[in-house]
Amino acid sequence: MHYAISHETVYQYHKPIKRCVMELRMQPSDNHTQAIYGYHLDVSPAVPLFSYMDWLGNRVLHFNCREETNALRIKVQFDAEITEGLLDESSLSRQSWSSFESLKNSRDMIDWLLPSHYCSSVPELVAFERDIAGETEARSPWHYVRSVNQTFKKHFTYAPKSTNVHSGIQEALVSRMGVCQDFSHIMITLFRKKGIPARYVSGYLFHNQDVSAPDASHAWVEVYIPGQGWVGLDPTNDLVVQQRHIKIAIGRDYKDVPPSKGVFFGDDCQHDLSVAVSVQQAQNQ
Amino acid sequence: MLCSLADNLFWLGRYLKRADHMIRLFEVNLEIMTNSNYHLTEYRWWLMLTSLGIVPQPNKSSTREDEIFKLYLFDEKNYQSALYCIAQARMNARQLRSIISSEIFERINELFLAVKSATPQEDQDSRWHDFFKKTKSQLNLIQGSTQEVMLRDDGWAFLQLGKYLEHLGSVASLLNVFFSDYQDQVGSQVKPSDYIEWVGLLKSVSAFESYLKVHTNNLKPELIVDLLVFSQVFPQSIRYSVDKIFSALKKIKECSKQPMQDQEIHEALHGLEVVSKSGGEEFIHSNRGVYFNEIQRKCIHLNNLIYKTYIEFPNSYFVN
Amino acid sequence: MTRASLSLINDTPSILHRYSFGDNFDEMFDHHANPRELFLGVYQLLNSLTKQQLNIRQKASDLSFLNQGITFTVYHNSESSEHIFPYDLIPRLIDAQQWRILEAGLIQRTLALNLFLHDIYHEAHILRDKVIPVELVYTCKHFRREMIGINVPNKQYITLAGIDIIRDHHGKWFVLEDNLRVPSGASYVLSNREASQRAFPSLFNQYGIRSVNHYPQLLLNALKELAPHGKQDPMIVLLSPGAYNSAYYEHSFLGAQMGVPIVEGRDLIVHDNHVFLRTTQGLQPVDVIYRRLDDDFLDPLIFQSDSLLGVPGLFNAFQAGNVALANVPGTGVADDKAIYSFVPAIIRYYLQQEPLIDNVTTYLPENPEHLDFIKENIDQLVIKPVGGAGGYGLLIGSQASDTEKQVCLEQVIKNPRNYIAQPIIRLSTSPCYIDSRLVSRHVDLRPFVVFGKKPTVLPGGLTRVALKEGSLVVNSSQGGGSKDTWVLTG
Repeated sequence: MHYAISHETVYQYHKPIKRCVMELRMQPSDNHTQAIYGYHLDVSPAVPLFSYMDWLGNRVLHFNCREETNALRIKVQFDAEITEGLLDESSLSRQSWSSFESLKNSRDMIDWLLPSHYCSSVPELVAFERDIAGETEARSPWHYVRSVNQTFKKHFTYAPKSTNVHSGIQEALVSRMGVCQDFSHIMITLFRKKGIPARYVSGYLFHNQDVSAPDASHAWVEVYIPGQGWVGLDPTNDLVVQQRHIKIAIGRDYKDVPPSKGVFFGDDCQHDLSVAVSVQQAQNQ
Repeated sequence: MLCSLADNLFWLGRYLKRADHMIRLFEVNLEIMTNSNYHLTEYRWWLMLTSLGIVPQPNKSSTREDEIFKLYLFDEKNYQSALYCIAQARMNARQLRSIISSEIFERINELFLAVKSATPQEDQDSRWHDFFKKTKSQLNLIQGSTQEVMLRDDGWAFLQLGKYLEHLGSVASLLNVFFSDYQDQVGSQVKPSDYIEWVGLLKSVSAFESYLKVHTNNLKPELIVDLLVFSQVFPQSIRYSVDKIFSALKKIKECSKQPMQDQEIHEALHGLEVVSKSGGEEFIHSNRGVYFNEIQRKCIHLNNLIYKTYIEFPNSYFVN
Repeated sequence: MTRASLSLINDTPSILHRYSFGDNFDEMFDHHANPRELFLGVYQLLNSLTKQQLNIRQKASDLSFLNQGITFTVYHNSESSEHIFPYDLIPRLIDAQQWRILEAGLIQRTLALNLFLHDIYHEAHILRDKVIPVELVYTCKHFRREMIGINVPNKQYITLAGIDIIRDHHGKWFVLEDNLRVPSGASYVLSNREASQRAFPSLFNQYGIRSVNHYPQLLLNALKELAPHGKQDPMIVLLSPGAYNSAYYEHSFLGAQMGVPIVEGRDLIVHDNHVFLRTTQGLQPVDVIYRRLDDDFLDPLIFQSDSLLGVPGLFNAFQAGNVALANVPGTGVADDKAIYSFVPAIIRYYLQQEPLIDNVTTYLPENPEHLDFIKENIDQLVIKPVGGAGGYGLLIGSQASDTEKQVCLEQVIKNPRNYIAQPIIRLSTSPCYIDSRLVSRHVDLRPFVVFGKKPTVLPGGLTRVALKEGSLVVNSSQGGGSKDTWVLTG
């Protein structure tokens, strides 16, 4: 499938700022399941851009601005072509619990198994785990993963602004309301507790009637199945990720992948942040 | 020169001068009160504190002498106390070890330790006298050492900037408070009953003896103003401070390879020059409250501009 | 206990009279209470001095420390106060032969730890070969994932190490702790030397004592080697958390002695991925940063975002190779106390050598067998938090109440990764002049390894003294003091 994506972020400062330093995780990786064309990132005021690959393999762009300014505008545009991965559920289900046991000794897997900033167990999580015990299936890790992914639509209300980007999982677990970020964090924590490597993915979703804030980025989960590799699951929409998810960055949780972060210098900390995302289906070229 | 070192030097100059000014005011006030059987003690203290920019807290018996000494000389936590100023001077000096000599740092440190351990007890006159005398001489020694050993580079210039901006501000404030209280006397010789007050004013800025030398013991408000405001040769005068600030800024400019934009600073400085160069005669006919307020206001404006141009550290905020 | 009490033939009331050290190993006297040969000079001098003469010397050095502002800050319940670092007059001596062994052992250890750091931030052979459990490294608070794959100049992670060594009641040397983040104390070595030279000039003529005064130059040269692109006359700065930091005296002293600016985060600015100094004349490029700021506070963009002490963008300039940091971020993983227990294995793995200085036996509560052992033997153990420093949070089993031990064990069980346990070691004692009496106090030693292209150990170090009678805790923040350490020439 072919998509045209645009993503505009504007920081509007109440008083002009003197300078700022920013880091962006807004550049998708270009690989065999996801081809990227015409990637374009514009910052205004205009500044030289620098980039590096972080320890997770994400492309990070960074810059500083020393011009006094009222606003900082970051605009990203690109086209993405997603190749449908073949999902072989029967071989996924064939991986037994025991095949996961030694993963913790592997340097490549350990970070997806250890608790992280937003993905650490709390008493409310244990309670939730108990609540859904009747609905989940533990015949194989894949069965478990699939069945847990199905529970969110039933047990949680998708409610934009019920939590914010800095909310821990506790808030959503108590109120049973949240957004994609909360659901992903909760699901990752559940999987890691069971010894299933799980990671956080930030990106965009092309949606027909699915939920996800229409003008914001999306987040979902990937789990590692030995012998099969990483498989994406979207708890917000009860989907197995195939061809409508455009992947930007991976991390242990949101803390590793904020689309933009930075420090600005000035007399007043107040500012407004606005984000506009559009994902359109493009004509096949 | 690092901005932060310039900052430290600037504040070192300011705090040393401020401590010096406070100690002198306390000494003079105590002297006046013990020598004159003065009955308006509370009022005098109020006057002095106001000239220091301190608003005495009501209901805190804050005009009682021992309380005042405790609060405004020795309370390290009170940012309006002399000890606080000395502690701050020391903190700044600590960060300047590579700029000022270790000798100067040690002198400031000794001063701090001495004032900190001087405990305010019931006022034996000689005890206070000794304390003020010793503290003043320690402060003089520090000023003297800086004169002797510091390189006359831009670092020196920032120290001078702090010192003279502080001095300018405190003299203007002192005169402002004083003249608003003794307005009617301008034009004639001071009244015998007020004689001691005028002498006190002169002594507060170490000007009494210089005054006698220039004008003999003929105390006239306009002559006093002439000395304290317009004199080009008296080092405590406002005019003299403005000249020093002027040369310090010139020095900073000379030392820099890529000079900063300082147009605004020069305009502000020029404003100060104009007021400090008009003569005593003119001053007599002006509204003196407005006049001194104007000096204080221009002084603050200049201070802010210098800070913004050379030093400023804006706050930083994290966002994501 | 009286076995080692001294009774002197000389009947003048010497200050050595009634000096006793129980059954500890004393640095100055053997177990027959005879002065060791090495200390004869000191012994004779002390014997000839009266209390008054010693008091004068002690007072003079105290006053000189106070006036010079040689202080550190102690934090207690969010209040802080400034103290002089108590200095004890009586020097501690180490002979040349012993020093050679220590020197070799310290260099060996630092070398191995540096290789370990490079390895775990690159291929991680040591983890793949299962010499150290992956989880132990990845759960270490000071393991910086951001450092993975980054190439640091000369593969040099450690520029300065402070390694704490001790002697037990037999006089055997052990390494107690590695300090690879921002080890402090070197300035006190220099001021202690100044004080001891003033107090006992005659001993300096009598003994050949190796100099420590070149330390700032040693460190400066090592910092110069780190300059990006081999730049000849690099701009070096010392990055300090500021004048209110407990070790600020040291920062200002070292900065001034090396002749490099002492800066705070606000003095530095990152522009287009390069670091600059903010001066009254505009921006000036910076090449090497000797940072005395913990990783967490270095760069709010990468590490702790609420830190105002750091420099946003600094880490990116560093990873692009545009500025060098000493020590490099992430060295703290190698001084984690749980990793410490693997250092002998690390030495064997990378150098194929046996460690020249032994470790103290260490129990990791994460290991169930060790945990059982800890529970049963807590009376004979010291429990330490793994990431702790300054002696905070330490429990000495033999001196703790039952409740304290109970509370501590609960903590350990709840959070086994955060603690280690070690047998209580009766540190060697050294004579100290306290309240006009010569008394024995427990001591340790922190030598400094300057790890440039040619690794060098400063001959001497900070001998730290537990000033409280019987106390085994030498940290300055816990009422410790220090004395000068004389390493003798061959």
